[in-house]
Amino acid sequence: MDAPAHGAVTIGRWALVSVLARSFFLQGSFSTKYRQNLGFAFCMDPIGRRLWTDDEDLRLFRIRHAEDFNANPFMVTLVLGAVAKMEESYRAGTHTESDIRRFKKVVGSATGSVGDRLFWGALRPVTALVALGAATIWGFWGFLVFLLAYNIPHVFLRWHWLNAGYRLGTDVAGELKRRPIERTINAANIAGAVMLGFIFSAHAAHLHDGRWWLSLGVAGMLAFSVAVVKLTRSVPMMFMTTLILTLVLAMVRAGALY
Amino acid sequence: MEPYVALALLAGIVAMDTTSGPQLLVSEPIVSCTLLGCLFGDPATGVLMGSLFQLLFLGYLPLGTVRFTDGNMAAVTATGSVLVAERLGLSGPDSHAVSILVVCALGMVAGSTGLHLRSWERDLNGRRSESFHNALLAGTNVAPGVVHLTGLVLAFCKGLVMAAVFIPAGAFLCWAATHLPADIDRAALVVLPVLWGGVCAPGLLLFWFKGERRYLALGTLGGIVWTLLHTVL
Repeated sequence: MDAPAHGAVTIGRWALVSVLARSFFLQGSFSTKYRQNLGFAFCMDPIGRRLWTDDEDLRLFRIRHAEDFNANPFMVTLVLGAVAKMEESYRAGTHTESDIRRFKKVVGSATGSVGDRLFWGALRPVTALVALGAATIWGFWGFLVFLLAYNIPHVFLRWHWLNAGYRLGTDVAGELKRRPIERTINAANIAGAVMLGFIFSAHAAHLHDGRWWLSLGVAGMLAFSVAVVKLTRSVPMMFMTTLILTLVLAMVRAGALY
Repeated sequence: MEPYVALALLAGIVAMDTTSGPQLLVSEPIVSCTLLGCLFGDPATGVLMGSLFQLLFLGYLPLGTVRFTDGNMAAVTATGSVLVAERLGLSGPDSHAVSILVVCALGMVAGSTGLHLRSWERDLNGRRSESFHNALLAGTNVAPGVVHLTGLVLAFCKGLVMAAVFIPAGAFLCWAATHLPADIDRAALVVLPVLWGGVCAPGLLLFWFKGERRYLALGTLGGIVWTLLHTVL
């Protein structure tokens, strides 16, 4: 449906700040069937209130944005900013409702792919490993290292993508293909692999007060765990079996079983 | 009374932060377990438990509608159990190692329970989404705020309930562990480091299948060299 031209209205910075704050709660009512639909409507509401002062227009706005939607929760601000720009255009009569719907679906899915690899697949593991390393040096302050190392880029990128989405509108696809994102993912994977290998072997090689056989035990437990994971495809199942095996080893050592 | 209230609040925040929001990753084991340890005056146990669970669930990808074990609540319930048991005098230094093994197993049960509770929570959210959408289509101009934020409250309450059920159960198991012969706990304390191989396996497999094998090998070699130098020097 084409909107009658209402004349140009801009959203303003405070509406965008409100959208940013709400974006942290995008998945507040995540459902299997509709996924982030309610969250998206919640995030867009300040935009709707700014653009549509008529109650009926606001209701139609909310219907538009309460449809099934899914995106990476850390990258969703790119979609929110761009859709905000499109809503301005829709109000001015230069975009249609179906343009907005199509755009949301396509760009939402694209952020899912890129954002999941960047945040869940790369940034989270590597910052966790940095924190574990920091914990061995600074004790309990390691958790602060993790929170800062993850959230400083995370919050910065949210704000950056919101502004980029609003600035670029429908030309936002280029933001997803930027080389720095791929380079960051690759660098994080490499750094994570090196760090995990180092942390694992440094601990396994440590002689535990002269009990060198424990280092062999760690290596053996690793091999056993890998086999169980590959067989059961379940990390909890693997961990349960390692816990039981550790307890059995303890009982054997204590002479309780023999 | 204060650490128990803070424990309950933290459990609720962890349950919320895992998926619902604000996803600042306060729910990650390295953060939540360390905070719990500091709350109960035993940061070393908090960091140990946090490290174990963080490594164990390093490769977890909570993508979209994927069903995954609630590793964050597993960590909170396991760590909370051992710390509460210590504070209440239900366990002591003679049963610490066995207690850790036992509460980690309980944590896995809590994690699986969290998985099912999350499915139920999502179904409820789906029904509320549908009601909201139908109300809009019927002509009522409902604001999404209250309906949406109810989901956050639901997630928070889920965390409270899980803590209320699993932490006392875990503390009881720690007390039960004190009745095992002290020899077993001494032996468990010696053998406990082998668990490291188990918790590192998922993360190593993650990077292995990502194709970063030579960097894994490089890091592994680096760790061995560092330890040998450290020992020699």
